[in-house]
Amino acid sequence: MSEPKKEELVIVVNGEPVHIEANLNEELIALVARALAKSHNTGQPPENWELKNASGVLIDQHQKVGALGLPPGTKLFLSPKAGVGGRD
Amino acid sequence: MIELLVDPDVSRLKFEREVSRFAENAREYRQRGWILLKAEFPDVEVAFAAPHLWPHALLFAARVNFSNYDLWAPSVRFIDPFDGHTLTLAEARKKRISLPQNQGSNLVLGPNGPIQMQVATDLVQADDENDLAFICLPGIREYHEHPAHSGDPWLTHRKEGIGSLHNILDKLHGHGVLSARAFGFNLTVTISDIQRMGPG
Repeated sequence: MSEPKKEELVIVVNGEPVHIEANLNEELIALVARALAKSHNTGQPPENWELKNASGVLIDQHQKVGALGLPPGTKLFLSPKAGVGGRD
Repeated sequence: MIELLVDPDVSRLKFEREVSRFAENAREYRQRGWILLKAEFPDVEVAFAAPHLWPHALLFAARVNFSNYDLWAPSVRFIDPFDGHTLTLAEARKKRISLPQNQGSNLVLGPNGPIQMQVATDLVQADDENDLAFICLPGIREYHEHPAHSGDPWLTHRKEGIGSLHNILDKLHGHGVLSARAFGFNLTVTISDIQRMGPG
């Protein structure tokens, strides 16, 4: 049985780069959880963070890493979701 | 003059950490249209351009202040990118600075089927149009200091990561740049000189 394919990605958590070895068959949401744990960002659960590409476009976390076709070393950006703002 | 509640060396260290992280991602931020104007404690000034629009446009600029950070959340004010003065709400509106609360489309399916335009709250606010404009979002000092949000203090959010330079700039980008879809032009044609042609 062949080993699952892996590649290194850089998850930038609130501006801080975190190097993660990603399994191409794992869902991005699992990658997000690992990046948050590795960077000690435990103030909010993973579902309260949004993942974006270098251009700032939101990425659906319920897809596999391999589906994005990212070259090794690609940076993805994690930020807390915006709270409710504005006033009546 | 801001009252110093935190040792400036502590705030400066955290400021430098935020600026250092910006520098590490400078290439990607530049691709997004984030142009660093100034990074001198306690202020970071960034201009936001729209690379997805043609011709490219400078949409707005903001000053993020890290005084008493992070006992206080960072303060965010809109500034004129050319002379640096802070903008009132009236000035911000004149410059068409707007941060719709909903990122993305404002078209929704109505209860009876037809597609409707949903009017999004503008996060750029002030109590009076002659007051300095502020951004009504958690993680920003002016939000937490406003009486309308006395039940949502900054210190309950301090460890959530929402008061970082990256997150603040990311929210300004999401609400204020990506929501700008296109230019609207009015075209007026003026014909100033018509030469009459004589009979054949």
